Amino acid sequence: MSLEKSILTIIYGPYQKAGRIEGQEIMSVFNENGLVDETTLDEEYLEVVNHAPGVLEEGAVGPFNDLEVIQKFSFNLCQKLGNHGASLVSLDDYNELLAASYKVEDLKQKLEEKGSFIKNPEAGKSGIFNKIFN
Amino acid sequence: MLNEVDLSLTTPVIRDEDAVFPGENWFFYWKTSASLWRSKIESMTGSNTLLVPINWSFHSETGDSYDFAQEKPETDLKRLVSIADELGKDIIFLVPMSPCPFLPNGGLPSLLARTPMVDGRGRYKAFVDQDGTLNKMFSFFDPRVYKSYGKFTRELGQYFSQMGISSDVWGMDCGQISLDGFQSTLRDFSPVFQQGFGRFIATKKDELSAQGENDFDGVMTPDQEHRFSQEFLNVIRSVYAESCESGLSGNWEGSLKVGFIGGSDDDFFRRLNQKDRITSYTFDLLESLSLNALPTSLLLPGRLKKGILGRMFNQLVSQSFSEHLFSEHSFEDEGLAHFKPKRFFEVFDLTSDIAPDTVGWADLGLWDYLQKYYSWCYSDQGETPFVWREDSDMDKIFFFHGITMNQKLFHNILKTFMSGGKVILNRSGLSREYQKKLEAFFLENDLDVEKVKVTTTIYNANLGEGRFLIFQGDDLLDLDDKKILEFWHKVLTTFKTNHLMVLPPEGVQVTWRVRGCNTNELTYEEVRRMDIYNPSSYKKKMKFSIPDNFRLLKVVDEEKVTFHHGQKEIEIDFLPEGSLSLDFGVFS
Repeated sequence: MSLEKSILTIIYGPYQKAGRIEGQEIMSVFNENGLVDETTLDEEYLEVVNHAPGVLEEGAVGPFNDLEVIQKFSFNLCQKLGNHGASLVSLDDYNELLAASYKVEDLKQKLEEKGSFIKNPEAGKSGIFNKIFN
Repeated sequence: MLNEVDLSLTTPVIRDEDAVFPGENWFFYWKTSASLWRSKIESMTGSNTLLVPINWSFHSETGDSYDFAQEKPETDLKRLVSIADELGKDIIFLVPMSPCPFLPNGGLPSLLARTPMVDGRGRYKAFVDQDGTLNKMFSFFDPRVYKSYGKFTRELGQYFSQMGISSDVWGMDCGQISLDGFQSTLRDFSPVFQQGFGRFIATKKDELSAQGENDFDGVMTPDQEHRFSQEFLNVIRSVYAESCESGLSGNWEGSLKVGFIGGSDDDFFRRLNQKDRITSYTFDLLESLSLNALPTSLLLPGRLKKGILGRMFNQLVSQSFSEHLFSEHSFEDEGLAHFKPKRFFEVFDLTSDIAPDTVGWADLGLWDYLQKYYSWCYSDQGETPFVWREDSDMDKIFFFHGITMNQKLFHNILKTFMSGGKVILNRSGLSREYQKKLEAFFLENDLDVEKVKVTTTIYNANLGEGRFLIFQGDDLLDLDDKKILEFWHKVLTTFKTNHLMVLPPEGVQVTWRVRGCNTNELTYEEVRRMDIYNPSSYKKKMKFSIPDNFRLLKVVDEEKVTFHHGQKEIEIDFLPEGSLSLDFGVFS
């Protein structure tokens, strides 16, 4: 599968601190290369939220005030990684989809169909001519 | 000048993997008709040992009544054992003590698969099987599960006893290999875990109050929560282990960790996109061995195991680690041809009752150093309690943190030192009580303690072959990576490890194995095998010198390599997925 057609999947859920929900966090963000690395997440988080993340590990970052900020973060990340788009799935939906899936292909398809999709308008423009002239 | 060298292929040709033999001589008896067991087992080549996991759900749907040949012929384990005996094969049974990644519902009977297992991030837990099936895990913290488990192990034990089955039984702690080491599948954060943990905390509060300790009033600090959570996990783990041990006492050998390669979270999300990363799997295989967890490829499709990954599993696991782990023969047996992993170091790390942000060996740069210069020749014991044994290998170097010191550990460390062992102690966090005890020990035994400044102050005492080195770990925290490597290099090169240090090109993995000498090799102390693997998709070149006390004996298992050998130099060109092994006679 070419990178331009691949989807970045983001699973998000409540961010808890001392037993209280204080916003949202990204539990898993991955594409066909697996979980997105800490360095990339850290850099992107700093650009969007303007301070260091409280949660940072491979494939996970946060907190975010609300879903809108997660959407902005996801869009930026998608562009940076060159994915075709981003599919945002809540934790509850992810768990429901996993429970209802039998094979990996089922789960992958459901995550892409049921998630809230953000298209990357830059996808497909990073061909060889674009690289030569930019 | 190029020398002629014996180029022998010693590895048996790998058998085609299928659902019944999913890897490393594991046998899934429930995946085929009992009438085909004989022909399947007959077709097995290479090893005479079959690893047979007991599929709990296959013998019971409810956890209440059991089928051992009463209904399905495939549940007739006595028949399986008899067939294996007739064909000259040994069976080792593996009883799961945690959810099994390779079975639907983690192996639980369907009526007991009630509460989905949840990871630390709130996600339902599942593993991708070798054919892309999602095996969903269910919590082992459900009281109905561990009560039924007790019945399962009793019924199994009684069946073995009545049928005269004397095969060894091991308890299997299944897990994945991650950045944090071996992560058992038992670990859970589901609602049943939370309920059980709540009851455990209430009991703890009563216990501590009864002991007159009123600091804990049921409201936990994060450190306390971490400590109690680990304690609760260990309590439940011991419930399963004790069920196995008492139910199967006639056959019980102990428990072992099993590392499922391809089962990490990163692998899960990559495999969701039907991608596999061979370099990641080969690394995890080696990491699993260093963690003393039996690596297995059961989750990986057969097509991935036709190349270098399959060779590594065959050479390092089936022929070496497994044989050593399950073999009845001692290493000192003169006729023994099996290599076992070479270990220079045994590293004992922080225990789970210590606060998670405490400085461990990773923070002190030890793993980076050992990985770079000693290529997997170490054993990460994690929080396994250190037990001194008379037959322990005193040539190894043992690492301990002072913050984990207790009476038993202190006693065992001193015994090791006095028996000629080498000990390195990080004194950061060592209590005043044990500092005084150490000082008293050195004084009473009239030992000279040298004091040397190498970045930090190092205290060194010798007693015959034994050596005790103490340093302050906290002093290393401000050093950059280069300075930390220099520190460890200065310290560890003062120990006579007799190691051939090579720095392979990036992506190439080197590992060492060792065996005793046969009657034709008595000029050497031991024979070491250097296994070199290039799992990458690139050509690689490697060149190194042979020290005077190493003698190249033979080159074996060449695949996609070109080997050149001078008097004192070796040069190897690797194609992608190339590998070979070099046998050296080693003398002082």
